[in-house]
Amino acid sequence: MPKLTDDELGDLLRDTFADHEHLADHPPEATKRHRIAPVLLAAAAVLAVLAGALYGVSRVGAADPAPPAATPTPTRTASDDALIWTASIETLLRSVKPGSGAWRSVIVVDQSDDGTNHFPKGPPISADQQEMMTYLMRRIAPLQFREKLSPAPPTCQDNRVGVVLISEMVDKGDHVEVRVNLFHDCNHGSNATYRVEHRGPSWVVTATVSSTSASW
Amino acid sequence: MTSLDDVVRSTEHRLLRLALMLSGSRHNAEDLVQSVLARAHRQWERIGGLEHPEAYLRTMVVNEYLGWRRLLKNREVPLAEPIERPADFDLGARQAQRDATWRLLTRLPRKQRAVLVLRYYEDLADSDIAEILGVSPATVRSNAARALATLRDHLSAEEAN
Repeated sequence: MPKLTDDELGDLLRDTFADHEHLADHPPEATKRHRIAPVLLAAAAVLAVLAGALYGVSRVGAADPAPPAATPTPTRTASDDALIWTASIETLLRSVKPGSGAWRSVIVVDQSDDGTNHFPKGPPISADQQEMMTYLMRRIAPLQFREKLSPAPPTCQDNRVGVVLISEMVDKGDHVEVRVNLFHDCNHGSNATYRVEHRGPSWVVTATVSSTSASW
Repeated sequence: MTSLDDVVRSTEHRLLRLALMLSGSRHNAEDLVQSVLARAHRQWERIGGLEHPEAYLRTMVVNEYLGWRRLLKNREVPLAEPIERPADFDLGARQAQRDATWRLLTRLPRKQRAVLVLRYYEDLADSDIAEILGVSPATVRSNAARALATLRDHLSAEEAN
């Protein structure tokens, strides 16, 4: 394969940066930290006290800011996220039998711009991630993606159609937790929170943290 | 004079994104921006009187990143080994290439990475980048050329493997 030109590398870098912007927008829940502005105000208060206390005390040079407490540093990539979602969705789909036969279609709702219908906003799922998930799930169910829950998918007309919502990942350091909701067969719903771990080349569900199912 | 609160409110997110692109992780980015804002608070009488205090804060973030020895010694994101993928399916060539690029960026010398971020994320001209980094435009161009060459070689090697 020919090496990339400077222009092609520039485009790749722009795409790469754009691809990772969401990391600044969606901090992992378990490691979500203080917002900066309140900390700045607190720092100002501390500085004011320190300034008073140290008044008249001569110092040589300024000390570096105190190192913040160490926190786990997530290094997941977009591909990892797609693998984690796929593993979680597959696990829930395998635990629920569709009305008859195999899943005809499973609609994954990307709620990143929605967050309505009493469900929290979900993570953004890029076109490449959708492509990857669709490929990985091809033997379980054909996946479709849509941005909103409404209009209601046809789970009443077709009991082999499922609707899936996925949560933001909660980073637990050595593993992540993902909640998956599945609606199917008109009035059936199941949800589960899975522990997903990095094993070898991929990610696998290693435990069910919680699960419920209901009919209405 | 613009108030620090107003500038923080309007630029915090943008600074955080810039710091993320430079440092490679949200946590390091937050630490970078916090350090910068704490220093900016102490110097606000001077910074707040500038015509573009936001641009000054951006320069402070870049310089904080370049001078952050602690980040290098103790807090640098551990370099992830290339993730091995099952070979029986195509994971999406473009996505894989972007993931590889993100990993490779963490291996570049920081000044080279800063040049790439300022040029391809902030879309700044080399002359503006030179001003931020306090170097000549020729130095910016040579840093960019070396960084692109490194990325090109490593991406090519990864694809070959």
